[in-house]
Formats: sequence, C-alpha cells, structure tokens
Amino acid sequence: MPPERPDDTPPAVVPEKVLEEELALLYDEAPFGYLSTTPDGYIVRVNATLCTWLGLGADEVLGLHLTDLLTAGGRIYHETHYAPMVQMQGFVREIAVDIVRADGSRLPVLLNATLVRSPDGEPRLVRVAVFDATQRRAYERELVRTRDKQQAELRAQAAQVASATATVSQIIDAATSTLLVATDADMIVTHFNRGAELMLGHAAQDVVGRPSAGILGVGETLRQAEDLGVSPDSALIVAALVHHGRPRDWHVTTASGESRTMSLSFTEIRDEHRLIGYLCAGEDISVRLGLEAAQAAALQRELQSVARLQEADRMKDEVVSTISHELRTPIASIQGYGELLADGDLGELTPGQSGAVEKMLRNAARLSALVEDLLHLDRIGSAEEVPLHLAPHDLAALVVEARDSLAQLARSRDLTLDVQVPEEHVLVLSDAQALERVVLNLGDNAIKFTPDGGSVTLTVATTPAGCVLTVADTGIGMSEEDRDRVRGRFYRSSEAYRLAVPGTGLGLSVVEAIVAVHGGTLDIASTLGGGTAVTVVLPAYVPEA
Amino acid sequence: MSVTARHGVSLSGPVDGQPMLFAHGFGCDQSMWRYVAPAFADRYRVITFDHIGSGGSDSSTYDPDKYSDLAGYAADVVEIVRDLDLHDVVFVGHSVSSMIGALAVIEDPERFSRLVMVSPSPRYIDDVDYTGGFAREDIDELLESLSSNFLGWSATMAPVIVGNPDRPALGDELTASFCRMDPDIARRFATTTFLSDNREDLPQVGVPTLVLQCTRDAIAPTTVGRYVADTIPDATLVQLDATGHCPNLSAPEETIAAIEGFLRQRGAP
Repeated sequence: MPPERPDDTPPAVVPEKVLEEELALLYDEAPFGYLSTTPDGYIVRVNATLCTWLGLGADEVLGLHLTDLLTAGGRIYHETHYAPMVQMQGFVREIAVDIVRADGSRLPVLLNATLVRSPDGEPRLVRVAVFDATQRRAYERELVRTRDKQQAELRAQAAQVASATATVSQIIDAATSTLLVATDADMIVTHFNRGAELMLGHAAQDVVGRPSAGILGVGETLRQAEDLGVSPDSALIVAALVHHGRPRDWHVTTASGESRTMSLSFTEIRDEHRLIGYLCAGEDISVRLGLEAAQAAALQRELQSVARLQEADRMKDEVVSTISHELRTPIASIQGYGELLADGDLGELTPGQSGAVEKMLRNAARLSALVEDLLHLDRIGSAEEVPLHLAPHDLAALVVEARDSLAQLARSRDLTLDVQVPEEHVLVLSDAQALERVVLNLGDNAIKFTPDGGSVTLTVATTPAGCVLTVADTGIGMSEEDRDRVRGRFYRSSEAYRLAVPGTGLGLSVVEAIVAVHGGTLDIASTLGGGTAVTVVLPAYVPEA
Repeated sequence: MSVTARHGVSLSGPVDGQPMLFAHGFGCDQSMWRYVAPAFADRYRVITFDHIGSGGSDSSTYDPDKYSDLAGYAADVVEIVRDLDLHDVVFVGHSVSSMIGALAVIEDPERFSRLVMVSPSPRYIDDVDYTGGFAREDIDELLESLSSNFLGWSATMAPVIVGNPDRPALGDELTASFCRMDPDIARRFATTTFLSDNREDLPQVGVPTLVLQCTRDAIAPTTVGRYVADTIPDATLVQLDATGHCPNLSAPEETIAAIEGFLRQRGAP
C-alpha cells in the first residue's frame, strides 16, 4: 500500500525550469554512467560521469562503437552474448565487462542495456546504464577464491578419505583366511571380502547390493534363531547375534554344496550418532575341528591301549608273584634232598651219580636265585610297605662270604676272581638278604659276561661319599644305548643276545631297586668290548654315640 | 537418449525438401537462427540444433576430452546428419560453427553439397603472416571475463553464497534467458574455439562454399574472411553491409538474400 499524503498538505511545487535543469544534472552527474547507442552499437549520447570515468571528453566518445571502450576479451563477450541478447530479447542485465580508460587502466563495470523501438517496432536506440563494479568485482573475486579454496580443501579431504577407504578395503580383501561381510543398517551387503568369497563360494559382485539374508543358509539361520531363543525375524536374529557377543559355530553350505563349519561373530557398525550397519567376521574351522576330532580319537585309543598294557602288566606281576611263591617250596625240597644225596646220607654215590647231583644242585641254586630275584622285585615293585629287616652289616664281610658262591660259578671257567676289601668293617644299615643279592647278582653278571681268560674284581672301600662296592670285569661290555636300558626289568643287551649269554634280564633291575630303597646310588661304566664296572654307593652306617 | 533429443534438434519445412542444417556459434544457441532459418522453411527441410552444453542440449553427455577439439563438435554434426539420414545437405554455420561445418564436410563429403560460413575464422590468434585479430593474452582475458561474468558464474554462485546450493535463487530467471550455458562448459567451449587453428583444413573443403563477412566485426576482421574465401578451393566471399559479428540477428534480410543468391547461383530451387 502506498504511503498516504495528509489531505491538508499541498503537493510541493518546483518551477518547471528548475525541474528540467535538475533532470539534466541527474543524467550527467548521477553516480552511474549512461550512454545510448544505435542498434548496432555506435555511441550517440554519453553522460558526464561516464566521460569522467573514461578520462575522455564527450566529443571524443561520441561516434565510437561500444566495443571500442572494452578490452579484447570484453569485445568477444559483447559479440557473442551482449549483442545477440539485446537483439533477441531486447535487454541485458548486469553483463560484467571491463572498460578501458584513456590512460589504459581498467574499470570493472556492469552493463544494463535496453533496446528502444520506434512506434512501428523498428529498433531505434539502445540505452545502456553502466555501474562501477570495482568493489563488487573485488567481493566476487574474493568469493570465488574462497569457494575455490574450499573446493580444493574438500577435494583434498575427499582424496584422503578415498585413499583411507582404499587402504582399508585392501586390508580387508587381503585377509583371505578371514571372512568379513559388512551390511548397511537394512542388511544389504556392502562389502564381501576375498576371504568370504573363498569360504562361501559366492563372488562379491553377485552378493554386494543384495539382502544378506540367505547367504549363510536360511535353515541354519533359523536354527541359530531357535538356539538363541528369538523368533525367526532377521532384525531380531541379528540383534540377538550381536548381543550374544561371542563367536558361534555355523554349519554353512557353500555355493558348491560343501558343508563347512564357520566360527562367526556379529557386531554393529556405528558412526557418531547411529547404527549404520553390521559386520560379520569369522573363520572356517572345519579343518581345525577335523584335526581336533582325529586327535581326540587317537588319544582315546592311546588311553585304551595304556589301560590294556597296565592290566597285562598287573596280571604278569600277579603270575610272577604266584609262581615264584609256588616254586620256592619245591626248589627248597630239591635242594634239600640233593644235599642229602651229595652228603652221602642216603648211601654212597658213584662218581657219575655224584657229578649228576652236583649239576642238579648248581642248577637248583640258579633256579632259587631267579625265584629270589623275582620275589625281591615283587616286593619292591608293589605299593605295599617293603618288609626290610634293617641292621648294621659289614659289606666287606658280606663280599668275602659271597666269594665262595661266586667262585663256584666261576669254577668251570678260566676266570680270575679277585676280591679286595679293607681290613676294617664297612658298616651299612641294610637288609642282609637284600644286600647279599646285590653282591651275588653283580658278581654273577660279571662272570657271565666275561669270556674265558678274563678277570672279575670285587672291591669294597669307604669314601667320603659312603661305602663303595665296585664290581669290574674285562668282559664284552655294552653300548651307551644299552647301558641306559639294562636297568629296566627283563631288558638284555644286544651283545647278550648275540653271544647267547643265558639270563633273564632281571638281575640288574633287582640290584637297582634294592640300592634305591637303601638310599644308595648305582653307576655303570661300560664300553662295548671294553668291560664293565658297576659302582654301588651306599650310605655309611654311623653308630649312635 | 536419441541423437536428436540430445541436441534439441528441431525440424521444419517439407519432409522431402533439400536439408538445410543451421549450427549456432559460441555464446548462444539455435535461437540465433530465429530470423533467418524460417525464411527457407517453405522450400527446404530446415534443421536447427544445439551443441552439447548449449541451449536445450543434454549437458550431462558433455565430454571435456571430446570437445577439447572442434573435431568433437564436427563428429556430432555428422552423427545428426547420419541419424536423420540426410543427403545433399546445405550446412549453414555461424562463427565457430563455420569451421565445425567445414570439418564435418571433410569428414563425410558424400552427405553435404553446400557450405555457408557466417563470420568464420580459422584461427583467432595472430600468427606469422596471419592476422587473426587477437593475442593469446586477449583470449585469457575473455576466459577471465567469462569467469567473472554474472551470466557465467552468478547463476551457480548465488546459491553457494547464500549457503543453499539446492535453491537456485537467481538461476531460474537466467536459465529462462537466451545464451544459457553451464559456466564450466562455456569456459571450455571458449577455450576450444578461440585457441583453434583449422587453417590447414580449409583447402580440403570440397563443396561450393559461401563466406559471409560483416563490416566491422570485432571477432572476425575482414582480412580473415578474405583468407577463408581464398583458401577454400570453391568459395565465394560476400561482404555484407551489416556490422558486428551476428548478421543473422542484426541484418537477417541481407543474410537471407546472400544465402539465397548463393544457392540460386549454384542451381538450387
């Protein structure tokens, strides 16, 4: 609504002549340049302001073509834009060009032009208003600079993001043994890495951009839902899987129809504000599960065979124990009657009979020794308390006593049996019977494994380490490997087998066991073909003061 | 999108008339021919179109590589001619399209019978023994002028300034105006045009050619018009009384008469 003029105020009156003068001044001195041209651009009128800007007199401007005022670039713009538009649409608005002043300097201006037609419609003149655009152009340039700078920064940022994205993509794809499937919030697959391709048998290009449902198998997904106790709705299932947190085993059928077991975990992908997708990560554990199952089966078989062996061992021990006890009495009877026969208590024997009885008794003694070995082992090997009868015994005396038995064994052989004992007592707190077995077994072994012409030496000594019994021979010896094994029950060295030396493989293990329960140590020094020296060290008995 | 739709092709005149294909120059669009083309529509099949990036063309198909050379524009002309299956074509090109027409005629001589070059220039920049009218710096100045021009950049800048690129505040009015052009494409078209040098192509133009040269053309000096007419084997130079660069707008009657004279003289209807 136009503002109202109060009724009682008469309109201001200025003489016509003053108004005309004012109009002329306004045209000439307005803060704008004005000019008029012919339709094809020749200047026919110009105001004082524009002349001042140009640094030219009006008489110098009149008759010029508009393009004469412009830069070369401006002239082209005039011909390609200004002139066609004035001619076609009758006006132009704010054409930006530079005009060239008389001194060669430039003035950025905006041109507004209107085509004036004669009453019959023929183009007559073009009115042009020229605005000084120096400041505006400066602002515009500043804006363009700012825009270009921002765009450059944005481009740099975008390049950085693209580069980071490419790096992450390559890392993800490089993980060929890890399945990585990403979806957006609507569970449309956005990334399907090389590992996923290899494990599931789908090509990424066939999967990306499609719903993720079904990739892991509808049946299996429903089974997982049931397992997690959620209804079969994909949003609920994925929420439950994310909430579950830990990896779960999935039985997945690959594109080629192969059954695989995958250990998969599900997580949410979030930006600062909201959920933007889901990530499924995992590995194919089919091979590992197969290996584990095979290992468990092997272990089970191992345990079963160990149990069988333990049972067999127990039965063997029982048999040995029983037989040994059962053999003792008849052997004692054979020995008793044999001695009666040998002593002539049952009548004089012919030399032939006497020799036979002697052989019988010798073999009965061996049999008896074997039985004693077995019984010792049985006692020591069993978990029960060993019924040792400990008392101080003189090791030296014991060795001297054993010499006779050993001499009897060595008699048929061409062997030197040497016994070296100190004059003083060598007291050891021991079970006499057990200690005697130690001496006899070691001596017996030495004699057995020493060929004719060799020697066997039994030495007793007292050292700071304890009472020492050494049984050394010049026999066949044994390899380093055998040396470590002969301590075991029933083990016989390969040389013993090769030379068909009789024996059970029990003697040394009995010795070892006895020495151990007496708190002693046993050491074997031997080389193949270089003889053997067995050294037993037992704690010396110290009588209480 | 079809070739014709891509170029906003418009057809008029008798379907069986001899084809006259009008091509606009740098700056505006096919409306540059609004005062000239209709004069031929009674006898000729008149076809006007927009170069890609101008007027009603599909700017999304603009390919900076292809259009870095006038041959790219000439290829479009040949494509239009083939798509419409035109023969015996009279090609009328204004300004840079005179040269685009020359290249199209060389490319597919079988389809064209006449070439009309309105205000042509085979090279705008001065060279040894050649006056194009401009120095290299002048062209840079034009590009600067384009960049800073309201028509050029304000239509896209204004929304950026007010911080809302989705609302083309000033764009609506301007795009409804003539000579609308994507500022980036305008700049590229200007570069391709004003840095072109097709002097060596002129001797290969094998059809009768009319060169229309204005008086006092700020873009194509009269010496250039003579050069073109002298270099094309079978060319006629007509010096118009019209001034400026666009006689098709400023002096349509004189332009029409010159073209008709040329076509008649060469045995046209």
